[in-house]
Amino acid sequence: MIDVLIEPWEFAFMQRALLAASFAALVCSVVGVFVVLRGMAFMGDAVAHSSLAGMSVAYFFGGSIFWGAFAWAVPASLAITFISRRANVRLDTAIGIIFVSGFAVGIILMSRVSNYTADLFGLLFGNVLGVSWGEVALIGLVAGGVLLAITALYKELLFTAYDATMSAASGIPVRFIQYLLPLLVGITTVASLKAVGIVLVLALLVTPAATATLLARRLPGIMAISVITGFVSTVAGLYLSFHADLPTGPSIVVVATGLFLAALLFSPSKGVAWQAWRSAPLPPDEAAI
Amino acid sequence: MSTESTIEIEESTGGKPGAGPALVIRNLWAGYDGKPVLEAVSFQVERGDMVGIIGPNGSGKSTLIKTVLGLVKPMRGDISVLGKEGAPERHLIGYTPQTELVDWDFPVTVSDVALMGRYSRRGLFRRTTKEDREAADAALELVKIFDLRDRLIGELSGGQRRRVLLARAMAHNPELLLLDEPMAGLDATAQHRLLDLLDELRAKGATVVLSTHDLSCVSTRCDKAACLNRRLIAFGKPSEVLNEQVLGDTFGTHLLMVHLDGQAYAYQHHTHPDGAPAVVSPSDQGHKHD
Repeated sequence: MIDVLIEPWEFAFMQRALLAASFAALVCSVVGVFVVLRGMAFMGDAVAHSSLAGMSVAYFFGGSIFWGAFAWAVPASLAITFISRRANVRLDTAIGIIFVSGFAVGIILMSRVSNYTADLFGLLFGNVLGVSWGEVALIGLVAGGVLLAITALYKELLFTAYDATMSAASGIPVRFIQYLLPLLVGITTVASLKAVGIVLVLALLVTPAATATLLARRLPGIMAISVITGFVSTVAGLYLSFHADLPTGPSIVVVATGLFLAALLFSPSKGVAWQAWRSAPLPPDEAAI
Repeated sequence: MSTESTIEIEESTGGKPGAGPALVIRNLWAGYDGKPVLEAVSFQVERGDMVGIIGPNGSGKSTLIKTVLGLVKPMRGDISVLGKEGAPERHLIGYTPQTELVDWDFPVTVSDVALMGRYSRRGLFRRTTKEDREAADAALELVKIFDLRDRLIGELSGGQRRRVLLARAMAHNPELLLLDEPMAGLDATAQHRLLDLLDELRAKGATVVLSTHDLSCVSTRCDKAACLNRRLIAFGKPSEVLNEQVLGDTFGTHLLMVHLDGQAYAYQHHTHPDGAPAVVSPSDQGHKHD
């Protein structure tokens, strides 16, 4: 039994995968709380998909795929905010346009590469078992930067997310914060692409945070539980992937989804199962007697 | 706990620099996207007064409040808050938005919200201090919801929600309170408790400007009424300005004010099928003006 738990970590590639996926899960779980509260899930998904363009440009010219994605995600998230604030375009429309345009450019570029399908598969679904120490360090660095920004500006992010008008009236630079948060979401998705890939990054971003909102009441507690849920999903997902020989990214997502369903049913305060159990019967209907 | 010492509202005539009217608005034009909503609005609010802004939807009540806050830039004209021209000093003004604009599902507690009122006194990157937490607690005591401090805001009643917003506005010891429709959606009892609370705050030196649809609240509880319909139709003591002519011009419909035993009734004067006039704003119970 102990062997089952220890064996995976005897391999260097599993150690690297654990670190890379944990960094990604950590930053996703924290940023994800804001994403869930502000309804920005589709935005994070769009930035991830559109950064395929940056990744394939980098791939095409033999550059770093990570920085390719990064260089695309930053202007993409700023553009989404800018378009929705300035032009007469709704936010979801702006997101949709950015989403598909970057993705289309990415697919076109990838189609010019000889081993098109195999490489595209890695970008779309992640390839955390193939992560290098250099990439682990890079993911850790970017995740750390995002977490540092959130810690430094926690009260401004909280206040603006809760009540933008009032925080503007208090002299908080609301416009700066309203550009910063999508930017942090964009950078977070880039840090997570290696772990779970473009298509599944949304799961890391919203599932642990959504699980946490079912289990905790206040924001600090929600963040703590989100981080724990994200980390447990990562470790359990890696075990599942290793022993059952399943793809890693999807395994992590499946575990995270399982935890969400458990919380949905059995959360002490909001669980659907308890609510059904607790609903007291009405007093006898006197008119019917 | 003893919190009286932490909230100190300066005396209204305390001889402080810039003593004078709490708010002076001169020939104010303001609006959105280059289209003015407010046209040539001028009035003056004395310290310690409670001024009620009344007017129909779209008359510019919220725009006026937001312009004083500095959230909407004036197109023309001047605003002077507590004797200071130009951009207002944030911590001198307390503001409560319309409650329907607040996200009541957000996972924060009553004391979290009150603490947000202290953010204007702390810069970027700064954490809130013990002093901030004490001031937030004092504000909760002041509005009498300290017992609810650990409740999530989503669990509060309508009257309690107003109080949380008011605690947030009071937490940084403002001298001028701008309240956007604080009475909306409250039952008569909760309205009167809120107005009594505002009177207590005024007794400690605060000046209150509130917008409302409730004519009787203005006529019985406010020192001055500002009747707004994009232009200022009238400004002055409610007993002097709330007449048929002014209300007709403000609301664009024929309203009839009736004063009975010192209480104010407003009737909309149009012909009902049964011939009886419809009561627009029923009277307050027992709170007489003067």
